[in-house]
Amino acid sequence: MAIVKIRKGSVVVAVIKVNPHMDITSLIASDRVGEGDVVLLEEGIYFQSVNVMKDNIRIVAQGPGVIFDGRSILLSAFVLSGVSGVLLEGIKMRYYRASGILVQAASGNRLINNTINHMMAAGIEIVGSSNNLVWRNSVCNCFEGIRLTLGSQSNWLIENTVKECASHAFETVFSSESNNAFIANTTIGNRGEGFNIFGSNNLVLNNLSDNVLGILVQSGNGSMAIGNRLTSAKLAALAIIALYDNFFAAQNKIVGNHREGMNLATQYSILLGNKIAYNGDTGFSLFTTSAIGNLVMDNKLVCNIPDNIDDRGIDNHIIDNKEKPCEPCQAPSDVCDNFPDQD
Amino acid sequence: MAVIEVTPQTNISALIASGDVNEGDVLLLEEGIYFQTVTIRKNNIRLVAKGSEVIFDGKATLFTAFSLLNVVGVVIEGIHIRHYRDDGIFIQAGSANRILNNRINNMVDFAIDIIGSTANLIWKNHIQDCRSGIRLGSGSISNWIIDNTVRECFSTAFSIFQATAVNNAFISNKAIGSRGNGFTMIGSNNLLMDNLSIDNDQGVSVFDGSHSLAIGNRIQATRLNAFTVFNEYQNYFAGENQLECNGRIGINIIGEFGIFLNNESSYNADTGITLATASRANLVKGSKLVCNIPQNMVDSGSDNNLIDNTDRPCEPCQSPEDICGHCQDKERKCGRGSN
Repeated sequence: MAIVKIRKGSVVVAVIKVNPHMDITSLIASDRVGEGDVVLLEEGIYFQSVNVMKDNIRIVAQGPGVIFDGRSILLSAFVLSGVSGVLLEGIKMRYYRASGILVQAASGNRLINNTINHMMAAGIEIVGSSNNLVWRNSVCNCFEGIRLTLGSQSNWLIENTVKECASHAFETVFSSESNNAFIANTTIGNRGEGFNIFGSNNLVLNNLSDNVLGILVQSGNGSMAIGNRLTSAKLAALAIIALYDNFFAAQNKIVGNHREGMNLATQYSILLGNKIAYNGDTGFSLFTTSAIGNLVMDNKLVCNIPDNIDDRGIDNHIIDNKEKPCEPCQAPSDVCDNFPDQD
Repeated sequence: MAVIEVTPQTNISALIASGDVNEGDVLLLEEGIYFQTVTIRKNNIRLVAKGSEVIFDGKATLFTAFSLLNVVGVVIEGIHIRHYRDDGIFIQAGSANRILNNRINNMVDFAIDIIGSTANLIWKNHIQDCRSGIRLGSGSISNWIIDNTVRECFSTAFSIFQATAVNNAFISNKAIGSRGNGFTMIGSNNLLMDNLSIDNDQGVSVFDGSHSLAIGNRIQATRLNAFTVFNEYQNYFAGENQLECNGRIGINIIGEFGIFLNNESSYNADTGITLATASRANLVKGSKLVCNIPQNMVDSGSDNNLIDNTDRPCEPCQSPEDICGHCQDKERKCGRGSN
């Protein structure tokens, strides 16, 4: 271990270099590491689980070859329990039996630019935690991508990529998960939903989804989807179920999905300025009598079959939408079979 | 439920309060000039402009154009609001209301003022020549302020003014030419992302709290400092912000345990990044510092860790004055473009 100490007046700054042979959990727990210290990971393959139980520790990869490999034996690569202000940056993690990073009862931590593959649970799991930033991580071939549960609130999930997971890419599990933001993430080829969103006032903004189902919303009120691009879903692109109240969806581009563009069992929701085209089922489906009092306005609907809008609900307001039926040779299958090329 | 057409002659407050309007109803406003204030105390009412010329004009006589008091799910969409003595839109103890695509100018006080309210969406509004733009007051939590533009206001463009206002997000907004700050952020876990601040007094000022964040913002041409994290703020995070051609310091850090990652501070007329004497245990990593005068970085604090920052002095004929004299129209002296 190399500790670079820089004396400035009466205080000591520490950048602590570590290598794969060191027990990082013990090091952080010891007096040799203080709040604000940087633990600089040298390149190499680390076979260990790291528990961080001290605030404001910064664990930073020194280069792209810092790899934590659990060999399908160890549980989680990093566990942040009850801490604040911890940074994990630039680390590759693979083959753990649970999650890559588990954050529990913690706040204000920063998980940045990590690459997480082949976890048997979620790439990143956030449990009962708030105010954490999850930025620019890449998660691939895990069971789930990024999962928020048990009262996780006001977390920021920004510019992450989740690919080819066995279940959902992004998930809030219970209605207690509220006020979280999912911004500019990319989800491709996952076998569950791109975004499975329980809870209230969650924001899904400017994301890309190409999964079995795009966005599924349930159990809460007031959540929002703005500026997302949902394509190639095997089921509905955006589905709102279980009498969700006051959902807001605007300027989403929903094109080339196999079933409905939007499938809505919601009340008092607002659907504004969305483009819904070439889907293999109805564009807007307000398909039950429990779809009540929704405002559907200024949307552009092109060639959804069998209908652009199907309103079987009660007191929905359909105002100023532009509808265009399919032109000859312009059915969803005609257009969408070549969809990737068109893009 | 119904779509109810209203005209400038309709008393909208009385109509909404009456039994003629129910939750979920749409009030479709016909074009014309409305001289009235509207108070809404019923949930899920949607006020929608029927065209681009729905104008609420207070004639510098009336107070607030729209007051949303203790309501949920109200929509105000597409309305031009001008010349009121107080605010354009005032939300108190409200939740999950949607303020969309309105144009608000010449308010004596705030264009949009949100007090003790949560989960509201303020999206694509254009504000000009008010005292201040959009303000979140005490106890305003988890509001979403997205894609708004505030120009040429007398005071701050976007502000949170009490530490009890937390978990709010300001995303892709523009603050241009105001005489106060672009963004004044008091409180904890407030997010600033992808905003633009040009030609304001200061760009971003952060006070009183912990865990707030600034990612991907661009700050140019401030009169004073571009970005300041004030006294004892804990665990601030700033990543990939771009600070260019500002009148004073690029990033001025007086906080503790902050993380400043991959920011670019260039051609500022004072130091690029300053860690003041009260700053402590901050991590400044991956910064790109180009031609700030007199220095690119000064660390007068304690326990700060500076790692992998790149530092380039001014080339000949490349001082901030040379580069930034035509900053706004991107012209460059010496035949070079900026980075």
